Amino acid sequence: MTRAPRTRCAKADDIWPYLDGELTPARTRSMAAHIATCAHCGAVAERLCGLLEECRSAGCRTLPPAVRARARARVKTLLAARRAR
Amino acid sequence: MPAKKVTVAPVPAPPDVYADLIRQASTGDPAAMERLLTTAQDVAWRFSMSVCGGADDAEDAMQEALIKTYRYTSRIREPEAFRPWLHRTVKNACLMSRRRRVDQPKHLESIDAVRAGDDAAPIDPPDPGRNPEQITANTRLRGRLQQAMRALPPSQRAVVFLREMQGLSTREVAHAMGVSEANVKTRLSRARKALQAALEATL
Repeated sequence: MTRAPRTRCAKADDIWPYLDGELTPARTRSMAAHIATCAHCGAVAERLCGLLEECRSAGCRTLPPAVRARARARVKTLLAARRAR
Repeated sequence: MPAKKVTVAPVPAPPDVYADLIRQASTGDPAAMERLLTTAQDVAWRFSMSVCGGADDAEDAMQEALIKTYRYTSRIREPEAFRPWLHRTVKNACLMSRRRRVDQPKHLESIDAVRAGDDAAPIDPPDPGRNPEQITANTRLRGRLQQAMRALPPSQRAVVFLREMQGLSTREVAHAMGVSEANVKTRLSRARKALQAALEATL
């Protein structure tokens, strides 16, 4: 993966808001075009994108089967107890 | 040689899967209620393992999330408010569980830790279309991310979990954590810098 050049770009502060989708549509287009041509922001955006994607994927991993089975059993027990009332 | 043209698109936050489930469950749909109660426990487990501590805390938090979600569902007026409410409930349950175990060593178990016995590691979704090189790089990145997460202060770790992993908005994170939005932004900014620095070697 590309290493970011040492010279920091003034637009680098917009990279996180860009990746978060928090910029206006016009600023999003402008930032996408900037990232495509600025060596610093391009390298940083690639890195942060990888970090963010990994975070997202970590947040939706499936539970271990035994933990999941216990969770389901608790649900069944609770709902059965409520129905029996 | 001309510089490589980089194309990086925004990374969309995961959708709020709870609001529809709440709507269906509150009308008496038993399958929706079952899914909602299971999902609430999923969140509790992930939060516990990522942010708070060990598997014992996780089981306590799951139980708490289950009971409170069941009670809350019939009273909820705004389904969109459920997600931050659930995460706040889970956070409080984890803290209570941790307080009950003050005599035990405080440590953070990896969300991917391979445990002996019945609590095997979580299962990653299939990774179709990726070559072995990418898979190896992702595995390395994942390990570095876990290490970097563990090195964060708990308050920052919680914000990263809620914002980056669960996709809550800044406002929702503030509600879940019981702090101001400005505070969330500060914590998130510090955490991102720390994570970025820690991952430099891998990325």
